[in-house]
Amino acid sequence: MTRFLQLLLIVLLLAAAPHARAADAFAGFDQAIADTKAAMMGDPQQALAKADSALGRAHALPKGPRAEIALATAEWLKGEALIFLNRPQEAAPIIDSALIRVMRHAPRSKLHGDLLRSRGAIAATAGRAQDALRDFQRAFQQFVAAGEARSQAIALQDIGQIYWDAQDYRRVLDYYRQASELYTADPAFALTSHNNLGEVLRKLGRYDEAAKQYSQALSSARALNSPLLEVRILSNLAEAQTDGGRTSIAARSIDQALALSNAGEAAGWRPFVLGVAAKVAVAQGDLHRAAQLYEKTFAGLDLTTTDMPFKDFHAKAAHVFEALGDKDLALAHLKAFQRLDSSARDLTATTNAQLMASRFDFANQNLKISQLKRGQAERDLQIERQRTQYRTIVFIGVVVAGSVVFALLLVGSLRIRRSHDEVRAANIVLAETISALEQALKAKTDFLAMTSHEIRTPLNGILGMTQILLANRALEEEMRGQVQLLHGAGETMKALVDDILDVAKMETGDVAVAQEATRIRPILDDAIALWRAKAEEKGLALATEIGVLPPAIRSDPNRLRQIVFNLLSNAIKFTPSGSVTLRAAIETQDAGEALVIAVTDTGIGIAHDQRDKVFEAFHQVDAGTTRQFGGTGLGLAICRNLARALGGDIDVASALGKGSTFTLRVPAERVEAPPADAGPTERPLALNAARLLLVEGNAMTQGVLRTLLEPAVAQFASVDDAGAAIDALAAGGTDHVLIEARSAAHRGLDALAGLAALIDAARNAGVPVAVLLAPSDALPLGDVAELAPDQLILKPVSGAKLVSMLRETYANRARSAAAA
Amino acid sequence: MQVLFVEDDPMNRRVVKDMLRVVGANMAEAEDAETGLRMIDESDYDIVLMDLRMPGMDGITAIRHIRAKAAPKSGLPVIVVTADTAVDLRERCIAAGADDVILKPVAMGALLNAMGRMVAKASGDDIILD
Repeated sequence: MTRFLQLLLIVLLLAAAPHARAADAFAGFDQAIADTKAAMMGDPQQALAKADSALGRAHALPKGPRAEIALATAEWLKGEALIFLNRPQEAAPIIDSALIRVMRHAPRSKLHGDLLRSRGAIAATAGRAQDALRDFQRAFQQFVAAGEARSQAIALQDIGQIYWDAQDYRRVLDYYRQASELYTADPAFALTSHNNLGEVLRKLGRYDEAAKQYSQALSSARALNSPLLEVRILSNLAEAQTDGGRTSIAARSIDQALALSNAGEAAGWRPFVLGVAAKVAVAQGDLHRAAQLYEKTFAGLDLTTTDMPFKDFHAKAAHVFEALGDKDLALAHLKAFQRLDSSARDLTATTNAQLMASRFDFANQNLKISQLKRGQAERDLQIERQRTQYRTIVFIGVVVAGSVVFALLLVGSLRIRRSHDEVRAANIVLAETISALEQALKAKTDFLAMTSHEIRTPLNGILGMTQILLANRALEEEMRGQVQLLHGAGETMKALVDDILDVAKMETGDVAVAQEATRIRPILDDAIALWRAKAEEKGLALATEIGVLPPAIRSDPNRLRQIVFNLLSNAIKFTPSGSVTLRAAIETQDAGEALVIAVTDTGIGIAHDQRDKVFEAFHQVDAGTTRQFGGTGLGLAICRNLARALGGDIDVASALGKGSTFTLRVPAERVEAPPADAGPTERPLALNAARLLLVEGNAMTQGVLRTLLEPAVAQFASVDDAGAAIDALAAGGTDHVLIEARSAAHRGLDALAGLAALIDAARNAGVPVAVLLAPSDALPLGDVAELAPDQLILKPVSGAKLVSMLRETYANRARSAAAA
Repeated sequence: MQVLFVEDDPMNRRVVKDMLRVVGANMAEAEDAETGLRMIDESDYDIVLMDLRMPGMDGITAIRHIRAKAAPKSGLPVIVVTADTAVDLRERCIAAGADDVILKPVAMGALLNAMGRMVAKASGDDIILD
């Protein structure tokens, strides 16, 4: 799989035109890029060194979008070299950095698509089929936007390859077909294309069609004058012919391959040719010849350490040696087969599970389940009929490797113009592919939206009634606790439905993110304020280490807020004791400045192999986690989607039992701060310059007063009781308090004591308090007056009168300011 | 205060009715949009709460019908109460003439707050707080 992808990448890479014309300052860079590409196939280690040197040159270029694209190109090649060297973890951050640059300076370009393909290849190597599929699909869309037919065809091959790993060959055939219809202009690519189609047709049991494709691939190989490719395709053709029952033709094909692989560049593949020749001999009924051929195939190899490509040979060899009475050798081959077969099945199972999660196509799932069942039955019945993808994968890899040699010679001359008709026909196929992908995702979202609607209705009954019960002050304490629990469970369920819908929406389309001047500090302060009480309740220390931050960056404040809230919530949730620390700083990277927000806890931690999984939807580290800690398991999936939509990402570092650090990095382009909402620091001299805080427990009256007062003040906020008002006063940002006397009771204090506490707090903060009191309230007017609020307003009062009374405070203040 | 809730699901009607009783508001019920429009013609309400998905006429169409009536009925405050979560839902409701949108499950505070704002808007500064 990996090798196949890498090699395809290189075909793509070699045929790519340089991204910038060689102007003086860029000439050296272009040369470095060309050197890197040339070295990639033969010597990836050298390519890595050259990519580094290209990167160095790119850094020295005059700043600007062009230099950014040059940097991204160099990073791409460095990432590719690392992927080649089987160091995908090192490649990942480099590719991500390049993606950020490209999304800013050259979105929807070919390079954008190339980078998405690299990221997809990394994901595929790590066994993350779902991520890989998504990246390849996006790459395809970028290539469509960039009008790159060849790259589009390669992206379709990538997608087909993912389905190959899941053994969903019908889909593989679809994608390979589309790829070959889309682009055939380049002989090296045509060869790969025909060969791939042959492979999948063979898997589907359509041997004659497969043989036809191989024959076409064979003529391309001959045209390319490559004995290596010819040998590989001949042996493949021989297999298809054998499987299709045409043994005598198969014998001719494999004899040609044997002759060609006697010496020269194809000699390295002789063991495989011998293996296929043995298979042909078995089909001809000549077991002795088959046994001799197998002995040559495995000559000098340790049967306990053979590679995946030998899997099928082992199965057949076991059969042959058993029939000939050599039980020991038969057993050794059988063991080797079982060893390789179980790893092959593991891969299929994981790939399948991930693909199932990534689409919503019941019909196909059923089909696949029946395919899997059939496959199991076949395994049990006739072990030697087993097939795996691995030999094919290596084969394809080699075919492409060979074609790359040719592609190298053809760089610059292969960009053949295609007729308008061909382009139009290709576009129709593409539009169909995209619309099929979109429809599958849309079906999923529609289904979830409908389910969400249906779940919300009974939830409305549950949560509606719990709210009504809780609003009843006469409810006795024990029962209140029980209703509260019921209410909490309903709220959790509602959050789950909301989260599921969010995730689905993010999968369907790009997440809508704003790009506006965003002040970071208030977001951090709000998050800390929100979670402080919860942390204290658990006995956790909640610390902050906030570096020097720019006044504002270009980002989406609501999305950032959502991420920070979620990370803090998780940290507190999964930390039984110790501390939670929120850090924020600006980091200078190659791609420019980045905002780094890290949340560190001393909690339960995450095992090494679970680190990537925590970002998957519905994943908590073990099944018991949900029960123990609650939550929907979707928070981190949402956070990662949001972070990526913002052009960044989230990572985690963790030690089991010691704690975790989740780090968010997003691009931080400095911009002018929006008009300060911190407001005037001096005491305002008019009501319309003041920030008013309303304390009103009756939601309806709160709505009435909001509508009345909002137009008359600079800023309006409301809370339900005096306790919340005291907290708000402590946080600052309030110039005036209006409290409805009945709403003063809080935290076990009756209304009068609560009112006294609030008036005290306001006096300390230098904020005037107006009390709105109805004679029918249980509060004696005299007692309230004794607390000496700045204003006592008696109901009934008209809205206009209330506003004019509040203004009086400022008339006095303005007079005294004038007198001073 | 007189409130009309146009909603086909009896449980949802019951829930909102009980919520409104907490603040002393009366709620009349219509189980489909056609009945609701007729009731609006026949009696005076302060606020209409409107579900969107109902058998027969849907809520959006019903709101357009209300806005097409003669004054003062055309100016009735209408709050949409729905379990629908489409991305552009709010815009579509407002475009049809709704004054506000509340999502189910209904948060009591949010509903009452929205109603309070409607009442204040309808009566202006002359409103008497008592």
